[in-house]
Amino acid sequence: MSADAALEAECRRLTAYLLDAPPTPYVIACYVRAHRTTPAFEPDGAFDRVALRLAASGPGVRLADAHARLFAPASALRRKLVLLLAILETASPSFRRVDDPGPPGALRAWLRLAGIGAAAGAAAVLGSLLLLPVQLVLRSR
Amino acid sequence: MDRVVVVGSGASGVHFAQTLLARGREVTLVDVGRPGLPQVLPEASLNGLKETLPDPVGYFLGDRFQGVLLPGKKGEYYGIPPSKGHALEGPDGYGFDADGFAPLFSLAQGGLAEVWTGGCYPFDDEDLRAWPLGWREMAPHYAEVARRIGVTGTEDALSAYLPLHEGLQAPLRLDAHAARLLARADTHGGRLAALGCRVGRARIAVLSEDRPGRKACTYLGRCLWGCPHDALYTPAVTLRECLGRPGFRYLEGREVLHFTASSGGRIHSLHARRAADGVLEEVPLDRLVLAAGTLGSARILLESLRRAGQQAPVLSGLMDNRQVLLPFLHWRMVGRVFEDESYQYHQLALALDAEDPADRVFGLVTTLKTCLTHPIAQSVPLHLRAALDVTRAAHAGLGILNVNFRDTRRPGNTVGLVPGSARPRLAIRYAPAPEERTWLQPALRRVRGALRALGCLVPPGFAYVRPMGASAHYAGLVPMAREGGAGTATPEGRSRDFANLWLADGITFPFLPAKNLTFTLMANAVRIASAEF
Repeated sequence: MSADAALEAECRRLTAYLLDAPPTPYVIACYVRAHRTTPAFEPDGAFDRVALRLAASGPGVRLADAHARLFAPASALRRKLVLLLAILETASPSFRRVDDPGPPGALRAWLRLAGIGAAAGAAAVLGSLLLLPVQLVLRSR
Repeated sequence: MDRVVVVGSGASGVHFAQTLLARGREVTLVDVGRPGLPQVLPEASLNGLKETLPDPVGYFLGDRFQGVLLPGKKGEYYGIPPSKGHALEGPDGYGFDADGFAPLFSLAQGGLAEVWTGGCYPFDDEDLRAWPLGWREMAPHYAEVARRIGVTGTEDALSAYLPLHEGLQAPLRLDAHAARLLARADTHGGRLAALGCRVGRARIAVLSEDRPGRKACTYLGRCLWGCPHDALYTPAVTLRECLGRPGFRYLEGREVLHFTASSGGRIHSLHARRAADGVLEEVPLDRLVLAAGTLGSARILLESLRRAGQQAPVLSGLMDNRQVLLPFLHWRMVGRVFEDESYQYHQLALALDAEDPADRVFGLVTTLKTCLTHPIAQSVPLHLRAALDVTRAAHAGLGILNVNFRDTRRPGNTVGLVPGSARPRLAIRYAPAPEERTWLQPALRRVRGALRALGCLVPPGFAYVRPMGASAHYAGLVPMAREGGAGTATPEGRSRDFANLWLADGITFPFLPAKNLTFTLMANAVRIASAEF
């Protein structure tokens, strides 16, 4: 697979993770262009590569991201995700999904937030159980 | 007729020039003057831009994606977007060494106020206590500036702290979040009063009524990216007005280096470098007005003193407002749709009383609407998908309170020149007042209490103490005083070192209250121009 094709596939996977929707060709083009424009999205060390590989597996992206948010917040995976979110929120029609607050009603929103928080906490525990030992081992090398 | 030369097209310089032009005088304004980008699709709302522009990502994030706030990169929720990047573009050869201070410079047409948020907060007698003048002397000039630029505001609970002046336009329509906060302030006034806190409408340089060449705010939500109708005032508007008047000569693309004076202390010429080709030019003059911003004017003054033979000249008393950003969440707004078509910056303000009125604290309440959300989502301590879900549910209830603190002149806070450098480099030294901690934390506790009284949650650990220099409210290096010696100015802004030099920017402010100083910069420039020319 060429480098651009790999980035396109990565963009599709990460967009599905963030928005439950496919990216437009424009979003994909922007994502690839950003990687060509700046080296900021290159993996920086062995753990970055492990996290990206896990994220490439599909369901693993949530665990890898949850762990990285706590223990490697500036890792390549997080940088790529934040870049993609920035692209999605400024491009059409994806910005509407990014801005959508969900079903109306403060109570429903708070209940949903509680659920999101609990699920994200579980993902953080699982992700860290999986990745923290790897990160520590790779760091000690 | 005297040849009057003004340096700098920022808030002070353009209003000084405009005052002289209105009196039939001729003015030469010398300026680096980097122009801004042309506005795109002036009738489109923020979301309209996303739907209509051929490359919206390029517009919002920049061609090098410099508008993305990546994890680990320093930045703020309201970072300067690429469309306004010219305002803070690195000053070529305009270096500095700074200790304890992170200065911002602007070489743009309109200066640093090209990226201001429009706060117009007149100084009252308590704010002006250390000044050689009071509210009575300033009031007509605030009114004049308000008439020129358009300031919205009204009489309310803050009027005791923000004196009323002529020329105010009716306030803008509040967004739903701000309206709720203000309603709550009315119903919970007792709790706020117990905290010594007042909440009211912001005074902002935004038109609520059309005027020639500028439309009233149409709530496009594009304030941060540049108002396409100039409803939100910036000094570039006044510069354009000056360019259309007889008697105005604009020498743009010139970096002013220094001036030269006769042995009697009378300045006869200004020396500038043309940015395009590096050619040095001499501009003869009879009266010189420095309005290049406190640090820009200091640099010209220091280099001129050095060339005149003064060893290692230093100016002391640098001031800047400490600012603390407090994010908050109005819990009743959670789950609502935020208003993308609304005025984007602060619509409310908050003041904290103090035993000594000089210590009062002032805050700008901004309800977040059309800012980009990726800087917020990444700061939520959850994986990004969950953080995004949280952010979009909470978006309509998010806000930031920008708390400003006063500053005083202290001898250790200095600006000099780095010795031995080929081109003048500023050496800036700044240390906060030793007692800062003793009043900063208690004030923040009261502010948090006020936000809770307004029905907001204030998450712990999210307060961001901005580094000194970040507010860009620089002042104080050549203070005006009724009596004084070298290194001071008269109450009319005239240098006591050079007979025909006037200092029209914040460099002469003897005290910096907690309020945004830009409105006072403009009014003070008008005052000096009216009194002395």
